[in-house]
Amino acid sequence: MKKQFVLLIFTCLLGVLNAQELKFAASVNKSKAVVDEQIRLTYSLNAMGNAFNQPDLSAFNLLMGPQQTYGVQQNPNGRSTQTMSFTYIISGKKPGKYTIQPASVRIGNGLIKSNTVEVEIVKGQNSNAQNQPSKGNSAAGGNDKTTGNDLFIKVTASKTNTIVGDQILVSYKLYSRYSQLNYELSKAPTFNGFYSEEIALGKNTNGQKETYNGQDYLTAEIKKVLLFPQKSGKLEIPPIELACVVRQRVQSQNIFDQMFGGGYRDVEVDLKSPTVTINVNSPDAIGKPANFNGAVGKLDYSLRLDRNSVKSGEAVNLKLVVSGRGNLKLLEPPILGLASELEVYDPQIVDNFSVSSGGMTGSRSFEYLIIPRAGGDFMIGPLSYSWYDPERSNWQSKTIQALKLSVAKSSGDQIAVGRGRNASAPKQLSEDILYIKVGETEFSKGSGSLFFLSIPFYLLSALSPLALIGFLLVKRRAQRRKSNIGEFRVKEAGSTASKRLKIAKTLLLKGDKNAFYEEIYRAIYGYLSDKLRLPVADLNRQKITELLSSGKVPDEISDRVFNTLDSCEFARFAPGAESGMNDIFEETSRIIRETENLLKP
Amino acid sequence: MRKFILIFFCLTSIAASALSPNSLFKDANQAYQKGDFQKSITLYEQIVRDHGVSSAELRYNLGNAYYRIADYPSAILNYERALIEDPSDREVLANLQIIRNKLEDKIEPMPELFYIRWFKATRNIFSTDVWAWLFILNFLGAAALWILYFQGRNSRNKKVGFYGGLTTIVFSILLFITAFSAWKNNYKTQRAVVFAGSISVKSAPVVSGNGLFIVHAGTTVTITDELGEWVRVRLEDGKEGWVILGDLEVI
Repeated sequence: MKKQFVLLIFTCLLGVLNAQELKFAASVNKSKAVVDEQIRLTYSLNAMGNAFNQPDLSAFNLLMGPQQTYGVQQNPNGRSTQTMSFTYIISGKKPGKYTIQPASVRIGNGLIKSNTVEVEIVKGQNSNAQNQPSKGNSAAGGNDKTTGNDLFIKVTASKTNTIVGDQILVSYKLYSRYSQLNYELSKAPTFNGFYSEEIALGKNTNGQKETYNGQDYLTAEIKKVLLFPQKSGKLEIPPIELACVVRQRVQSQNIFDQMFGGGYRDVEVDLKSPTVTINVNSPDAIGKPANFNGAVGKLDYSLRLDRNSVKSGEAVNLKLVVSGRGNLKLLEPPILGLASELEVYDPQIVDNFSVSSGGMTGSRSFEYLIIPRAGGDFMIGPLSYSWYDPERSNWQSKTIQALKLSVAKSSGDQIAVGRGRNASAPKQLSEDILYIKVGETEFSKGSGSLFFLSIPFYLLSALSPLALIGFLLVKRRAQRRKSNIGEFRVKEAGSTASKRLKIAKTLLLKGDKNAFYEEIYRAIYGYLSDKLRLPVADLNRQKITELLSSGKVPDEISDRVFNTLDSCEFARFAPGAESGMNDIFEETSRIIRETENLLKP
Repeated sequence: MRKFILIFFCLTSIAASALSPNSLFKDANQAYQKGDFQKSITLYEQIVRDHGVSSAELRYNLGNAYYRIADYPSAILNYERALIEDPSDREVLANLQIIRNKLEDKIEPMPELFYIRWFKATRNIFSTDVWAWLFILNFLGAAALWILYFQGRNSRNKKVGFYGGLTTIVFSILLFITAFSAWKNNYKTQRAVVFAGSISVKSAPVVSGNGLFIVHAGTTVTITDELGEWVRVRLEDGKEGWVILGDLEVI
């Protein structure tokens, strides 16, 4: 690219009154600038024109303009001409050489074009070529003359690190080195994430002199606001935008102007304040107490009852006053947790606080209307409240002593009302798990020690059927043995009888007649009893005959049995029949022997 | 030398007593009471790990400690383990209800027929072993009544023996079924708690299987089948699908 500076002059074609040339010149205050450095681009015309056609400035950041200014120029020939100029403040976006194309303006019927301007943008070592006031608390906009040092907005926040609910005083102040200044709010900030409370500006806030960075400024308070963060995190306080008009002195060649203090012109400047970031902590992060309900500040709580003894059904006023300096306006009515016999209405909130630069101070009171529905003594409280004191950076708490309310019973209908209320279920305040078990415990080794389906279990289960079976077996054996005794007697009947006969024989030899017959008698009856399975008591002659004949014993034998028995009986009571004893013995032995043979199985 | 040995024995016995399950349990409870839940968890887990023992109270307290540090899957796992030891513990059931409300998955159990519901409610009154003992006692009673019947000399004893014997036999069968059901439910049904944050339940035991639905940590599932590292699970509402065993913790 050739570096050239071409000045094109278009002369007016149609009726221009004077001999003076028409000049429409484009100029920049610097032809070489670093990126983001402000460049002033001026188109000046020594006549009055209209329909200014602006050049293509898309390669630049258009910071301001076009701004029209009008002036009167005294010519050497004594005549004065009106002049006008169009001013832009631009800055380069990227390094490089740029040619600004001509602008055009209409004068009368003719169109006049300006020259082109070459601008070189270089990479800046210090892109902050403008003098920015320190700390980033203020920034500036303006044209070449109204640099950041001459006109800027300063934002001050009373704190930049705080907690949800704390109050932050933010003030926007305009600093100016110009004596004449008009401004207008073009864009008010919206405070997202904050509750904001505007503070009325005082009367004497404008035009105060202040020294800042060693320079004297006139200051004006633009806006003061009290902000209460409503959420944690990094919250931004957005910028405020001002449209200012400043009166600038212009260097004039005119000797009169210089003599009378020079020429002035009004320049419009758009100002934007810097953004301030506030770091807001969450109350959870710094260990909020359980009874914290959002109160932050230097506070105090008090509780008062308007009277201590009432009749049931009469209203009592309970006043809870929170006073001090803090987020009073954001306080919610606290839960009192009163007995259900006390009917509590939603509290009336009475505010008595003011908002000033000192913060929100005063008190907020919650007035509860309480109607006791039953008689008795009720305790209100003790109530405990916690709040965060940002000045001391700690949690404060206060426990208010319980207040006693004595309620006397009144007429029955009100008690009935009270009873209806009492029936409501207790309110569930929150849900939490039950507490751990702190008593003794019995440890076991997992499922390995399970009793069900273990060997002892099987053994014990088998015990019942085994016991039953065992019992039945024992019972059966006993029964069998019982029946065996009968068999045995049948079997042994013969030998028992012969034993008896042997005794009878010895008695016979001794000659003991009575005992002998007795023994014979027994031998026969015993034998028949055993053999026929009949108790001796049940034996009679008919039965004996029946049973013997059914056992295939001929009647002849039973007749012989009866004969023998008769002979025995006869002989026992008839004296002197010793000889018959031997016969009877023989006969009895024969009968038993024969019957034994006959009844053999 | 002898003195030294004596001292040594004293010291070891003190050390041993300090680490007994019961004293560890007390220490853990104290840590919980002081609010040091992490420490109490460490101590409770130490009892299980070092001594291989457990109890319903231990599992319950451990579940509470995990709840306090918001480790809900671990809390559920321990509450479920407490229920195996004592299926009718009302505190465990209450806490499980609260913790389930905090989970992401709200699974409505399938409605059951009333008699199944009654049976399950009855079964959960006692642990498996209590049912087993009741069965044994009842069965012994049945044998005694039958003996009375066989041995009875008068008709009243025989009547008592006969009808009592029949009734107790029926009761024994019912008690055995209950004990068996409790045993199967507590020890033979493999249940598991989802530990991974959220898992996609697949239609087939392959990674590329279609995702059927998503379950989140803390959900309790029943394992119905196994195939390698995959298990087939059933949710309480009857939905089934395959997941990787590593995402679960078996109760």
